Amino acid sequence: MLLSSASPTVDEFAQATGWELEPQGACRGDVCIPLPADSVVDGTVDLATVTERLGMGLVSDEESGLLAVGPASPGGRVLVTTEAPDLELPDFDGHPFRLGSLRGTKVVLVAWAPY
Amino acid sequence: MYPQGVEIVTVCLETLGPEPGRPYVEAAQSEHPTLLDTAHIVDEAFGIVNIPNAVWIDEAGMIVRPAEPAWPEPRKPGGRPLPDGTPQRLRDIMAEASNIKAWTAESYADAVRDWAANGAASRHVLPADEVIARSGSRDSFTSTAAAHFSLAEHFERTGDHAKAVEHFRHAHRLAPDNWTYKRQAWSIEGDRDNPMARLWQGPVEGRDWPYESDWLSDIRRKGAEQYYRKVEL
Repeated sequence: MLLSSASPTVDEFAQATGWELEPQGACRGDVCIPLPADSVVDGTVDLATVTERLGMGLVSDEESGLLAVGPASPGGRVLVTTEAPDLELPDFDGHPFRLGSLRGTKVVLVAWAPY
Repeated sequence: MYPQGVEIVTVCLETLGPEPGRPYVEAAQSEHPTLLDTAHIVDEAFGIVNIPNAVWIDEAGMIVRPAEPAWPEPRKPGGRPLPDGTPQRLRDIMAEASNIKAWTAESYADAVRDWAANGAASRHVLPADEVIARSGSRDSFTSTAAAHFSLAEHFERTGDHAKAVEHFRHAHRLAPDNWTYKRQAWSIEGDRDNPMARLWQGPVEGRDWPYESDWLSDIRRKGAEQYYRKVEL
């Protein structure tokens, strides 16, 4: 996931990663990972500390200045919770679709590709 | 399967945008949501590392089966005869592909029907700890691979193919078992407007090949039986 800033706000960090930074730590669903006290200062995230603690890859493309962060890996498994992320993706006509809009229905999400 | 209470949502993993997948979508004339994921965010979110893969999400938004190979019916060995003039590499690819196992002895489609009929009582619904345990391994290397893939997708989409290749290569090195990262990158090195060329996924005479491996070399090294991980329905 690309980050727009090397010093994201807690909201920007949550939007990019799905992890909310709360007083008790970084939380997603019913899972919270404790963080050092100075991980967030005045609403700004200490990216190096938080990504390291959550086991997130952090890559900087020096030439362009772009930053990208990978998913958390605190438990060594892909999923840390069974709560499905509420992803938004476009359909083939470009209209946005939220997975969460299907709440109340069983969903089989099928990934495919033309290659 | 919507009348039976299950909505199918297809997600096309395609950095090049909607056009390569559109003929398939139009031919299917599906009524279910057909989505496009240029950045492979479902790879990150659900641990999808090859295609086709499926994830089951129940009415409360909880994952009850994690990402797993999802051929509607068990794959049978063997393949169709190829027309005269088929290049040897494509013949070799089809020969290897015919040995790929999807690992399910039962019908995946029947498992979905069972879930539709029995809901949480279906024997195919897994407890939460089993869902997490089966969701695949992730560490700082595979997470860093995902970050590189995000940058690769950005550069490919914004027209800097050389930079995209640089980050695709990092992603491949850090997550060698992620076939979608590799198939995506390999498939856009040749004639990307030719659907058959996109299956070539390897060196073409007279052109530089910027990757350390390719589909045919990789599957021969790993073994076709390892292409999909085993699924217990």
